[in-house]
Amino acid sequence: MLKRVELLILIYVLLTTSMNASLFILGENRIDAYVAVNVLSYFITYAVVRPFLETPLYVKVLNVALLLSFMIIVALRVYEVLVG
Amino acid sequence: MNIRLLVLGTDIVIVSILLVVYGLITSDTGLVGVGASIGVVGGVVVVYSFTPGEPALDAVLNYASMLVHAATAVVEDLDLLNSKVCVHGTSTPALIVFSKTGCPDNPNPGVGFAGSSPYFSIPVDVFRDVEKLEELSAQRLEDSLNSLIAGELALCKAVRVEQRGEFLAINVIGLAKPLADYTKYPLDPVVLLVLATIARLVGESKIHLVEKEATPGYTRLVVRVEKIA
Repeated sequence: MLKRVELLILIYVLLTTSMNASLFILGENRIDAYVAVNVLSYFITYAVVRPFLETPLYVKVLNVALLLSFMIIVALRVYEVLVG
Repeated sequence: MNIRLLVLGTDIVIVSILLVVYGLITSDTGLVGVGASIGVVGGVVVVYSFTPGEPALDAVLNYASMLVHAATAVVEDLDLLNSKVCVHGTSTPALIVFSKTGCPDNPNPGVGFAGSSPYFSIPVDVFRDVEKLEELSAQRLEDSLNSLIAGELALCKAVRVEQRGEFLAINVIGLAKPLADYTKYPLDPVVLLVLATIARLVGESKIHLVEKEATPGYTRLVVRVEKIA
């Protein structure tokens, strides 16, 4: 089980590093863009690696928290576009 | 818990905080974004550090494989490959008995003879502290097996129990991959663990394995519980 978790962390960190570097080099200044892309990287990695047979409660809580933060970020952006 | 990951995650969070503070001081929101993103990575690593993962798991699996092969050789030599399997819940530890003549009375651990027929029995001591079921019903057994087999041991995703007259059909769904490979052996650890757990939950009884059906990732056991007063 731990091997799969380590694989997940490795892929996730590689994805996040490349995404962060790309956004920074492109001159992205919005904080939420970095966090949203990071959350997306996490879920992509999680879906590909599937580290658990039965997801533990603390990981479920983490997943819900990350999904909520992603939803809030996207909702605020959509709201900004609609209002602005 | 994995201390290595916990330290790594905490370090990443600390670095991210420093990065965010530096970004705020220099008014570089891009840097603050990078810091926040790294902070999320640190948080994820900290949460995943709570994953149970014993370093000896591979060694235990190899050891289990060795034991299964050794016990299978004994079962073959005793001509018990197509034998009946039952669990004696009356003794402590419970005894899993392989015999061609049904469940012998008062078996001893190891190889023995009931009349002229050989048997092979394995002492199994699982869930010593678990409370016995007050009343045997499919629902209660399912709840207990789910909590012990799927929850505590993470042996499978779920257990479903159906009552068929005097028989109980135990469906072990989503077997853990390392254990799914053992289903082809006469001594299948999944079967032995499930039967021993039922014997522990029921208490003074004999559990007879009537039928076993195994497909990849799924095992169905039909058992008969014989209560002993």
